[in-house]
Amino acid sequence: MVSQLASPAAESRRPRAGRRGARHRFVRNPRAIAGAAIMALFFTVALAAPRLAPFHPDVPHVLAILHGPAWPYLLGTDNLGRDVLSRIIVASRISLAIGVLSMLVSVVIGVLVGAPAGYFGGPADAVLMRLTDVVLAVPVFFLAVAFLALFGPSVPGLILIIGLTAWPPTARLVRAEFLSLRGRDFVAAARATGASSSRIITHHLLPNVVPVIVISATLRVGLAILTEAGLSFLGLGVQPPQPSWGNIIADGREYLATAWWVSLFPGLCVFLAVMAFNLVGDGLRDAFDPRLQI
Amino acid sequence: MSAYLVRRVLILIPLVFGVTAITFALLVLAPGNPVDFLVSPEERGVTDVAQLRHELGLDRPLPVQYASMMAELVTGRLRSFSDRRPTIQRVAEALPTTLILTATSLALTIALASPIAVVSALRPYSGVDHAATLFSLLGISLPTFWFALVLIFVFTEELGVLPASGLRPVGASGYSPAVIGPYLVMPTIVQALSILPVLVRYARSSLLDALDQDFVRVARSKGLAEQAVFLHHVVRNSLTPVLTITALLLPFLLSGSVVVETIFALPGIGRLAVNAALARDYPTVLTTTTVAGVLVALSNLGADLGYFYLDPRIRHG
Amino acid sequence: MLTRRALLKIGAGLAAGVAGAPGRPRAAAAAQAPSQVVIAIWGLPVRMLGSNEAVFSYVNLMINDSLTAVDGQGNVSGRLAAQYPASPDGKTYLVTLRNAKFQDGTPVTAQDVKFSYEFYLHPKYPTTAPAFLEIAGGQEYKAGKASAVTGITVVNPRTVRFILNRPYPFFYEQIGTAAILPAHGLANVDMARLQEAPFARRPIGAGPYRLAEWRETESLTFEAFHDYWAGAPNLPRVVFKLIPEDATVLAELHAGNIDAGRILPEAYAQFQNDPRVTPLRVPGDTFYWFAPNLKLPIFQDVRVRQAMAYAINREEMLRALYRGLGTVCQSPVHPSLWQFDKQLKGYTYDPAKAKQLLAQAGWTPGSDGTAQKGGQPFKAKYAFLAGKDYQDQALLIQQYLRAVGISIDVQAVERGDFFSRYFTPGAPIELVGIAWFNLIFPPQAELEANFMSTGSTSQIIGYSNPKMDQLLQQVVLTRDRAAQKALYNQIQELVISDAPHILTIRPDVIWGVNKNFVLPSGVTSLRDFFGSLPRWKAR
Repeated sequence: MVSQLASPAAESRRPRAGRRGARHRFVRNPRAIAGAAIMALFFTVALAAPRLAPFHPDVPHVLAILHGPAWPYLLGTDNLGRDVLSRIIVASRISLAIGVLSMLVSVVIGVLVGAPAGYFGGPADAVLMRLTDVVLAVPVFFLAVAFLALFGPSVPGLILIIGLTAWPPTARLVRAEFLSLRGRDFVAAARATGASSSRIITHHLLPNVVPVIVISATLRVGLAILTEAGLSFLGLGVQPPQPSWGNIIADGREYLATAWWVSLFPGLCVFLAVMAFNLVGDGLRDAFDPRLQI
Repeated sequence: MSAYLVRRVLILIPLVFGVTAITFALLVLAPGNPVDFLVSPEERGVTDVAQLRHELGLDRPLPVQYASMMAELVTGRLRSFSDRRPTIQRVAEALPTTLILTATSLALTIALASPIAVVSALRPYSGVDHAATLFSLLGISLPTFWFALVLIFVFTEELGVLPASGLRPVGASGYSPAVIGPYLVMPTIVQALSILPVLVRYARSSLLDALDQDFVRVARSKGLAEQAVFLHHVVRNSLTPVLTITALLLPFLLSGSVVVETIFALPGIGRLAVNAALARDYPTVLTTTTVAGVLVALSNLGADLGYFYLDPRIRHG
Repeated sequence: MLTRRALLKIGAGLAAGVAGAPGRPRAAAAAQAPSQVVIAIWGLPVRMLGSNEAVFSYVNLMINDSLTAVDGQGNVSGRLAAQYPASPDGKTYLVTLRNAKFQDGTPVTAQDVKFSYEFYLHPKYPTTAPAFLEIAGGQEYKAGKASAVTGITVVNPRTVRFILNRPYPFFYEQIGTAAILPAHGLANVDMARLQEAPFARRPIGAGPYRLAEWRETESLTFEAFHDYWAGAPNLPRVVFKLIPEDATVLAELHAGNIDAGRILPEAYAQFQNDPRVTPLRVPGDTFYWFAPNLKLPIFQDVRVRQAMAYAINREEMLRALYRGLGTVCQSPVHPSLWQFDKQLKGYTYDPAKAKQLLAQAGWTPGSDGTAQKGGQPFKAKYAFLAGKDYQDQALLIQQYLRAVGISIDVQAVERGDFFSRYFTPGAPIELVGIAWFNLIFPPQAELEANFMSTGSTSQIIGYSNPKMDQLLQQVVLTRDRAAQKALYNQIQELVISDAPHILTIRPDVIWGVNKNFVLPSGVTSLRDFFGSLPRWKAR
């Protein structure tokens, strides 16, 4: 949200100046860099996954069932004697894919729906918002039950259903921002100078909505990974034996008191990933709007 | 205004049809049919399966099934496939539990999020801010069932101070707070933790933005007391996204309730809906989806009315 | 809308909850003899009439009684029937009722018996057991071609005569074990809308416990029936409380909020020295097995199937997954039954033998370890019913088969999908993993369903052996127990040598029971556990 300066023209110029300086500001931000480094580490691990895992993630070692973290099972073993570290490494690929890709799906759709709804108002708004309500009311697990049964276990399918059920909040947030911004002077000024609606939306309004979108996106990644964990709890997530952080945590829940490492370590990975996205997201937001940085 | 309200209420009708049609389509397209759950394989030879399908109306074309079930739903005569009781009754039994849990969770979240967000916004990027961010991020890093089980381990197994299952003691009935209170403590905490970071993040961000605006500087320069400035201008102007998010937390809590209801054995609507979907009990699914759709629409209506109240600049088309 | 008052009340309730410590007062109350036992259960039935749900069978044991019953060893005893001799030709049974009452005080009469069987044979009754069709006139009645079952006659208010189509030897075990319902409770009920009858929500039976309260998906409360013919049960009240999550059951047991619940094998050791809870090993009723699709050429050679059976390390499966609490299972007959072949030599763990058999069937080890024949690797898809037990076992089975050169891909299938697309005749399955839940004793019905060529499972996997059919049919024609035993032994041996199903393990069910309660001895199955409830004593 941009403050109201005296000059509408100066205000509408800000975003352009911001973009060039944004990268500059981002790399000067130590927290953002830390977050980006963690993200880079995760993505590298995810890409190299099978080769990095010390053991095959699916192979049971029946003599080492529920062993605590120790050599050679550095993060312990689960109830089938599978190495938790290996499973986490291989699972990173799937969980990060689910987190990031479903976030992209939901953010893109959310903006595509929320922006016109907030800007144009009227019947377009009414229709789009009712569509939003409809999607909000369909619980993700119904989709999951049907999808799992129809197409069998499929990670792209999960990404789709999590993304398709997660966009309404982003849409409503974007819409709310647009609603409150469109009455501002700089918009009227832009219209007066003959700018088209789409130009106004993309050049003047969207950059001001970046903070909201960024927060939404960073939260979405964690929420998506957790949604998959909840679905795994119900038996509808990534199907075993394929590991995901979510289903490792779900399967380990019976041993919370006795073999806490099974659920805790993948949980820590989710936490680190969410933190990293959060830091990067904050950095992006601050990069676009330097006056918020103190 | 009243015309606007009437219009929004009327729109519920196509909304409910939209949601239920989509859900129905998804369920019937999925393999697995209700009869498999009502008749075991050994009995299939002796039971007149065709007759059973006919009784449940499963031999009619899909659109007819859907239309007829919705008509029965609206008149309250729709019966569940599994126990043949009116679905309205099953939902009415389960709904209060979920609504109460949702209400207490929202209340706790708002109560916790407000001070955290305010402190974070007043001292951004300070140690307190980072600690608050970290703490609230925990809520979206660890699944609700994990939190639930940790709480159960600590408070039920080790300390023995809180019950971990059901909504009330065996033999008790009703929803009196003294009776159900202890049973709601852990479920409420778990649900609240899952949405806390969302509320904190948005509230903090919009408070920061509002704090930074020129009109705040103007108000300060006018010499208004800091408190008044804060409460009146900052908070009020930052409420729009917060209101949006709070209205959106309701459906999120509803869909997340199934995990909490399963772990704490709460007889709520989340568990009812999932079990019905897994058992292909179409009537119950349609009813729970309708109820969910209405609740979502009402909460969004509430949010939209809130915008109208908070920011008169927002016009409704 | 939440008013401030309501919010305050809820807040007070929450505070009271944290401060009130309900765990403590209960501990104090336990000093007196408890008048109720709260049992955590993993599922509750949604129907009390015409229910095929596994959990309903336990409720049935509480609220209903039958003419005869079969104990854990498969021996018959009379319940509502005081005398029940069979005619020399084995086609007529004269049942004399004892002085028994229903829970509403009315006496159990011959009329009720006839009514009950006609109820179960009604054309619209959804779950008619196939054995009832052995009653003369039953088939016609079920088909809607007669207005009554001619084979059941009321001789006098205390005596009923059953006439069978043929000298079916399992009258007591498969027909006499049906719950007797009061005719007056179900008279004039619309069979097409059975569940809407008042009786369906408030059933009356002749069993030891009356259903006092039914909170669907929450709990079932039973109250002792003082006029039960075998004497009033010791405990005045029994509650089945639905707790879906195992970890919650464990915590509630520790805290004393419930009195009995099923716990994980891991917890068995935990509770050995617990001051409050005794762990109890109950032999399980679930037999795990997997079966190949015999219509596929790859599985048609019996040596291949035997190889798979030898490849499985059953003892290790028990040790790894169930802490060794359970038994290796190779016979489809429950080990406590007299029909069980104690001399049966099943498959030992012998991967070398497995590889040998595969080689004899023409499979040679490939370069990557997978066996191959004619250029084709031995690969198959193993679909199992989604669930933790099946999943863990599938992973171990995958490893064992891989060790002998059979490569399988394992895949969990959601329940609804499993029974409609996989476990159904004609389904394109390769290997399926599932289990039996042996709730019905004796084994005849299960054996027919699984091994007779016309049985439901045989139709799915394509198993057909005329010798097996002949043996199973012959049992029904013999009334001499020794002769039946010989036949059952042969049947079990044929199941082993044919290996249409590869049976694996039968894990124990571990219960944690509060030390305040004493169970009768001799609980050898899950069904026994629930059946013993009337004889539980409070300390």
